[in-house]
Amino acid sequence: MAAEAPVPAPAPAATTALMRQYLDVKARYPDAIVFFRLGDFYEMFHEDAVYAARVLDLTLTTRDKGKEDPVPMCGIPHHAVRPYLVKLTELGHRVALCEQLEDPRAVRGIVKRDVVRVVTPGVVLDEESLDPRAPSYVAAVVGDARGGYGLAFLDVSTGDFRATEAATGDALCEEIGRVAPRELVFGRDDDGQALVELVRPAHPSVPRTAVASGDDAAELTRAFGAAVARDLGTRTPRAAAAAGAVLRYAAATQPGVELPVTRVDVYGRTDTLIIDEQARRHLELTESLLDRRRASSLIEVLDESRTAMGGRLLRRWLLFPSVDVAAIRRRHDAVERLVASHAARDAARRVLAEVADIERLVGRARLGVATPRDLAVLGRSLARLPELRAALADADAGELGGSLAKDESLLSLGDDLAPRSPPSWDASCAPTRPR
Amino acid sequence: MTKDGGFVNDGVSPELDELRDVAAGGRNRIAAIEARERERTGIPSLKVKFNSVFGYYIEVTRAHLASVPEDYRRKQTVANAERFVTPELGEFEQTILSADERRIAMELEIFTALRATVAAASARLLALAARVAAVDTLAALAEVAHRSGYCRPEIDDGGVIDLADARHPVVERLAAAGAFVPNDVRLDPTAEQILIVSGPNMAGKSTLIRQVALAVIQAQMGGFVAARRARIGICDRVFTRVGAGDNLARGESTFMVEMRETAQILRYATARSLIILDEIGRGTSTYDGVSIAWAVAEHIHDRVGAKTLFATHYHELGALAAQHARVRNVSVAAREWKGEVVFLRKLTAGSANRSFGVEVAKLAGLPPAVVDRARAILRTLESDGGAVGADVPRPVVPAEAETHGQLGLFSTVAAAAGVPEPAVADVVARLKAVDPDELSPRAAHDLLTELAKKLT
Repeated sequence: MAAEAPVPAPAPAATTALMRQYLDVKARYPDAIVFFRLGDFYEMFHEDAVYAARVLDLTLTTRDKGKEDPVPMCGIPHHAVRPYLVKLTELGHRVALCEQLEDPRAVRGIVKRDVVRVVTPGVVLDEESLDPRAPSYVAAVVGDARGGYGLAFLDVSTGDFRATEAATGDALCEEIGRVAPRELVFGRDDDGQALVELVRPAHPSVPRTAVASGDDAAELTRAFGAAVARDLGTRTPRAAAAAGAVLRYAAATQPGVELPVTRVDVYGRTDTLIIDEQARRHLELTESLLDRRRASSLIEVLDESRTAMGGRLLRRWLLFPSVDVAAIRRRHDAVERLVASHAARDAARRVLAEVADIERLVGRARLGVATPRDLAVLGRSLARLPELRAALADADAGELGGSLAKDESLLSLGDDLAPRSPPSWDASCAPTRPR
Repeated sequence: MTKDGGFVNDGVSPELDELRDVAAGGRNRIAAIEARERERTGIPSLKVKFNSVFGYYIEVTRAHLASVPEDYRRKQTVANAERFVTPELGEFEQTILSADERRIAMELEIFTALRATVAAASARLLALAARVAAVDTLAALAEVAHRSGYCRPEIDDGGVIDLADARHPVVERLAAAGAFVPNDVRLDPTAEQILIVSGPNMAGKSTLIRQVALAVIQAQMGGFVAARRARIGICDRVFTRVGAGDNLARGESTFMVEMRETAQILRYATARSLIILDEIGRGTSTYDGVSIAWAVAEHIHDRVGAKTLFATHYHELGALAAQHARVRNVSVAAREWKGEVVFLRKLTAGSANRSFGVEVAKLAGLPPAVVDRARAILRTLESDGGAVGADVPRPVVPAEAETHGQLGLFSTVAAAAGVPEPAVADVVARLKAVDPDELSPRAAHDLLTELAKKLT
C-alpha cells in the first residue's frame, strides 16, 4: 500500500444508527477507503473523508454541524464515481463500495447496506479502466531464501490464473517483471516483510498490499476441489501457497459471488524462454525504450489480432515463448497453413473482427456485473463461431476450427436478449446479485 | 434502462409476450376510446394523451368546451385547452401500468436467470474463448508473416542459429520500402560461438545484433521470422546488455548498473542461452573497458558456452579471435567516399579497423574547425603507434563486400551525387548494355547527354 494511505483511526463512538452501520462496515474493511452509499451519493467519513477530500479535491464538510466533535464527511454523486475510483486505485488504494441493498421506499427505518465489491489497483472490473489487450493481474508472492519462492497471478476479469516457483530472489524479481502485475500481495508477517524488502528495489512502483494470514489451502480446495489442491500442494508447494493467497485476497474483493476461476496453470520458468528484464526493455518487445509507448515495439508490428482475447494471448506468447520443439512446430504448422490459405485467413479474420471479448464478458457474468447489453454482445459473438469454424474448414486448417463450436448449446446463449438493448445500465437499478 | 426494460426478445417467454400484448392492447383500446369520444361529443380535435403526472387524460380545446359531456372530470387547465379524466381511462391506465410493471420485473428475472446460466457455463465458455483466442493469434501471426515476407524457421535442439537475409522486424517497417539491408548471421556453439561485431558508430551494429534475438523470440513464440531462411536451435534464455544504463533515478552510476547486469548474465547464462552485448565497458576508462570486455568474452567462451553477439567499437577485441577457437570477427561495413563516411550496413567477415568517429562527428554537424582539428590529432595519435595494443591493419571493406554491397554502392554514389538511387542503377545498366566499338561518335554523344540528364 502506498505510504500515504489513511491510517485507520481509533473507532469513534457512533451517535446514530447510520453511523453505527458505517463503523461496522469500516471495521470490516479497515485498509480500504469506504464509499458509503447514501441515496444518490457515496459518502466518506472520518479519516477517509479528510484524506479523500485532499487527493480528490472534494469539499470537506461535517455530518452533524454544530455538534461538538463533528464527523468529517465528503461525497461523490454515484453516477460520477468512476474517475474517482480510477484516481484512488492509481494512487495504490483499495476502495470498498458499500451499497444500499434494499429499496428505501420499501423499508421502514434504516436501509440494509453492505460492501458489494472492493476495487483495488489489481482487481478492476470497469471496462473503461482495463486495457483490452493486456491482462490486469493481481499477484501474490510467498516463500523465503531457503525454501524458494512462489508467485501466483490472477486476472479477475477473465479468470486467467497462473503460478510458478523461483529458486532465487533474482529469479522471483525477474518473473514479477515479466508478469507485470498491477498489485502485489504479501503476507503481513515477518516473511511478508522480508519479501517486500526483496521485491521493492526491483519493482518500486507496483502497489503493494499486506494481508493478514488465513487458510489459503482451503481457498484452493474450494476453487478446484480437494484432489487438485492436494496435488498442487505436493508437486509445487510454493506455487500452490501463492495461488491460495492470491485467490483468498481476490475472493474477498467480490463478496457473495464466485470468481470466474476454473483452473490454475502452474508453469516452470524453465519451460519458457526466459527473457530477462533488460532484454525485454532493450529489445523493445512491448514498449519502446525511449518513451515507453507501444508504438515502434515488436508487439505493435506483430499484433494483427482481431479480438482482445487474441491480443492478450499474443502478448503472452511473446513474453513467455516456448522451449518445446514439438509445441513450437505445431504452432508453425498452423501459421503455415493460414499463410498458405489466403481465403481462409481473410474469412476467419473478418469473422473474428465481429467477436467481442468473450473472456471478460463471461467474467462479468460470473461476477454478477454483466448488463443486458453485455449478454446480448456475448450472444452475438457466440453466434458467429460456426461461421469461424466454416472459414477454417475451407483451409487445410480444419482441426483449428474443429475444436470451436462443438458445444452447440453455448452458441445460442445470448439469443434471448434483444440486440437493440440500450448501451447504458444504471448500476443503481441493478438487480441484487445472485448470492 | 431497467425502468423501461425492453431488452428481452419477443418469443422468449410466452408470459412476457402476453404482458406485452396487454400493454399494447391497452394502448389500442385508448385509441378506440379516442375515436368513440370524438363521435359521441362531436369534437374533432379531442385527443387522449398521457403524461407522467396524472396518466391518461382527454384534452379538449377551448373552442369546444361547450360540447364536453357531464361525465368528464376536469383535471387541469392549460393555454387554449382543458384536460379531463374519466373513470374508464383510469381503469385502463391501471391495467397498462401494472402490466408494464410486471413486464419489467419479468424481463429482469429472465435477464438475471440468463446471467446465472452464463455464469454456470463459464468454465466451458472460457475454454471456448481460449480456443477462439488461439485461432485469432495464429491468424495474426500468419497475417504478419504474409504481409512482411517472413519465413517459417526450422526449429531443433541443435543449438545453431543460422539466418539468411535476416532483417529487424521493427526497423525495417520504419525504413523506406526495400531500404533495409538484410544480413546473414550464423552462430554455432561448436564453431562461431561468439561474434565480435565491430564497425563505426551508427553503422547498424545494434540493429543487427538485436534482430538475431528478435528472430529467436519470434520463432519460439510460434511465429515466422523476418528472414529469407532461418534455422533456430532452441534457446533457454535471452540476455541483453545494451547501451548506457538509464537507471540514474535509482542513484547508481551507469558503470555500476552495467557491471551488475553483466554479472547477472555471467551468473545465469547457460550453453543454450543467447547473449547480446552492446558496447560493454563503455562506462569507464578505455583501458578498464577493453580489459573488462575482453575478460567477459573470454569467460563466455571458456566457461559459459553461450552463443554471443558482442558489438564493440574497441578494435582491440579483434585480437580475441586469434587466441580463441570459437570467436569470430565480423564488421558492419562502412567506407569513405570523398571525405564522408558511407554506411553499407552489410555484415562482412573480419573486423573493422577504423571507427570513422571523426566522420560521424562531421555528419552530426560538429563545426568544420573542430572536425579538422580532431582529424589532425587522430593522425598524430595513430602515427605514434596508437593508444592501446597494436591492431592488424585490414582493408576497410573486405573483398567480398563488393558484390554483397552493390546496392549499397549505388546508394553511396547516389548520396554523393545527390540523385535518386534508381537513376544511378539505371545509368549503370545502360552503360553495361553498350558496346563502345559499335557506337558512332554522334550516338556516343547522344547517350552521354541522355545519361547526364538522368543524373541531374
